[in-house]
This record gives sequence, structure tokens and C-alpha cells, in this order.
Amino acid sequence: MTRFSGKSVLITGGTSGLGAATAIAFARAGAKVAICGREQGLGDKVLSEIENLGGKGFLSIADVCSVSEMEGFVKDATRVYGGLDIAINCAGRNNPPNRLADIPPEEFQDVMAINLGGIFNAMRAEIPELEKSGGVVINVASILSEIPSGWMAAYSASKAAVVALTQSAAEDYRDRGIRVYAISPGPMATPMFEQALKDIGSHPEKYAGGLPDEGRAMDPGHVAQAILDLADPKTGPKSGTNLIFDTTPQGFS
Amino acid sequence: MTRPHFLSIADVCSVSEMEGFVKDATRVYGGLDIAINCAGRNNPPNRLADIPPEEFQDVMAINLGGIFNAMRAEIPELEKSGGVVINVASILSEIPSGWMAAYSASKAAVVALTQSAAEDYRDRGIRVYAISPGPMATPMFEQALKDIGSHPEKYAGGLPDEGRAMDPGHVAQAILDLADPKTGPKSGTNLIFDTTPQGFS
Repeated sequence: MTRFSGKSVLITGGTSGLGAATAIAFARAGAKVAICGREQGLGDKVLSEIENLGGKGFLSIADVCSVSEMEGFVKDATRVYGGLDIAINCAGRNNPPNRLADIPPEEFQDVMAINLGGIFNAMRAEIPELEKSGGVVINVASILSEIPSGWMAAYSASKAAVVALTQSAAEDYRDRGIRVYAISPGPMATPMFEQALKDIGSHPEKYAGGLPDEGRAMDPGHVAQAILDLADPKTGPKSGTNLIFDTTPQGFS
Repeated sequence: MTRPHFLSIADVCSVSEMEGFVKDATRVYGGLDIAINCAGRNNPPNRLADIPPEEFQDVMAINLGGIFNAMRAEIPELEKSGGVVINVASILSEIPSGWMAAYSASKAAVVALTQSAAEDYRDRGIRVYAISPGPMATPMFEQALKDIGSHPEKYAGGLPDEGRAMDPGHVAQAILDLADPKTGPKSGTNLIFDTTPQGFS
């Protein structure tokens, strides 16, 4: 008997980075895992890792920006696994470093559509199923939600909004048996971090909040373990908590 | 004699209309010193999963996208004048509340956008503030009273005693104090200003 055996877990953005690490951590803990993302190849890699662990996985190519694709993903995952217990909303993007007036409007809109609209679209579809199971939803924000930084206005604002959306939803469903959390990790060794290093080029001062020492970005597997602790009713704190989790040497805390 | 004031029919959701408004105002007055981004809407009380997606998108387009579109157009002019921009958020940015997830999230985002922009322009001579007022006696408050009907518990954070919503004129005075370089605090400040008897503070 493992910690989450028989539980049905859904993860948006589960095909890479923190989402993939979280999918694998839940599979290792005995859960049935449904992931969505935009790239079949990345998703297939995560699925085969899950299967190598003897776990059960399910992949949907779906975009969090689409109301109907999120409805479809939640419906499919719920049908395949006979219910939904845990939803992790992890899909997100960052933005290349720019001062506010230099951010292209289309980029601002896209960051908001994915990071904020995507979390809304996902929660909206997940909540009716979680009301049936007495489940939990965990939204991935960022340390930048707490310390809005230069060069990253769009990303910072989107993540601050995710925390507020989480805390409003926690109130909405406090008496209805659903727990709602946010987690705000520091920089992690993921493809998004690699991209950020490319974007800043030879200008480390543009890494919002200070670039962690080389090789010292957080292990996404450790953040995934914290997500499991939030999901577990035995270890989860009060609904509405935003878990700020930054262990980088040049972190913000 | 030309009238000393100037009106533009423009929508903050439109990138080009905000560019046009800032351009016109700057031309008519020979520059821009102070920008106040106040346009906003609320949302009728609903639990998150009951908020229509189009309404969520509209709240974000006006309250958050509108502030971005406005600041983006204003900042190049304010860099010339060493000016100030003040974004109107809400007390709900600080205490996200049930029934108002879209509005709360949009206003929390406005505060973060303000504070990021304050860092972006700290060495470039522009001050950037947010102000987070409590409930004010405005048409938005009247609408909220209609929306909650006979369910005062749906007024996020608690309905202020009858007739005790804040005077928007007092909030306007605080905005003048922020704008004035003699009284304005450190750039990036979010002035939380709620004097209602059942306020959040």
C-alpha cells in the first residue's frame, strides 16, 4: 500500500519540467496519473517513465487556454479513472526580460492567457468533479508572486493573480469539502530555467530577483514532493495556503 | 478660448485606443506629468466554477490588460517629464475573498504589475504606485448592492454599514498625495486605504 494508491491525479503541463516531475512522483506513490500538454513526444516520454515504474498514465494533447479542451481533458481523465481526487495546475510560461513598456502586447496577453486564464479554465472544469470526491486542487504559482520583480512584470502579475485566485477559491469551497492551495517555488532546474538563462544572455542582472549560483537551481523533484505533501489530507495545511518554497542560495526569502 | 479639459471616448481594452488617448492628451497639453489608471469593473458574486469564462476574460481584459495597455502608452511620455503613474487596485487585492475570485485576482495582479514596473523604472525617474481602497459610494458599489440582492454575505469581506461606504473624494485626495512628489512615498508603494466601519484592515 503506497501513499496515494488508487487515487486519480490530473496534471496540466504534465509533459515537462515540474509537471513531469510531479506526474512521476505521484505514479511512484501509487496514483493513477492523467497529464496534458501540447507536445505528444514529451508526453510519451513521461508516460513511458510512469509505465516503467509499473504505474498507470494517460496523456491528452490539450491547451489550457481552451475552455472546451480543459472540459474535455477533465471529462476524459475522470471517465478513464472513475473519478478525480487531485488536480495539479502546473502549465505555465515565463516572459523574456523586458521593462513593462517594452513588453509586446501580444506577449502580455499570452502570458495571462496561459498562466492565469489556464488556471481558471482548469479549475472551473475540475471543481465539479472534486466536489464529488472531496478532493484537492494545487495551483503552481512562483516566488515572483510574492516579490514582484523588474524585467518580469507580466509573469509576476500573472503569478500574483494565481495566488489570489487560489485564495478566493479556497473561501468559495471551504464548506464544500475541497482544499485549494498554491505553491510558490524558487528557480528550478527545468526547461523554463534553461530558457531564462538563454533569454538573459550576458545580462545576469536581468534574472528577476538574482540568478542562483550555477547549478544551484532547485531540483523539481523536491518541489514535487512538497506538492504530494499538500495533496495528502494527513499533511496538507489550511485550505488557501500558498506554500512559499525557495531553497536557492540567492533566493528571495 | 479652448476648454481647459479634454475628453476622449476610448476603451482601455484597446492597445491602439490607449496609444491614441495618450498621444492626444500629450499633444493638447504639451506633455504628460501624471497618469491615473482607474478604469475597472467588478463581477457579480459567484463561486469560481460558476463564473462564466467570458466574464472572467472581460474582468481581466479591463482590470489587468487595461492597466497594461495604459501604462505601456503612458510610460514613454512620463520618462520625458519625470512623472508618476498611479494604478487603482482594491482592498480585495490584499484579502482575496470568496464570491469575487476574478475581481480579486485581477486586482492582485495590478499590484504586482505596479511593483514590477516600479523596479523597471526606479532609475529612470518615474514613480509608480498602486492604491487599494475599501468600498466607495460609487456606481460600482450601487451595482454590487443590486447584485447581492438579499444575500449580504455575498458582499466579499462584509458589507459596510448602510451609508458608510467611503467617499470617493477622500480617496481622490489620497491619489493627489501620491502624485505630489513632496508627499509621495517610495515608488512601488501600494497604499491600502480602507476606512469603512466593517473594513478589512
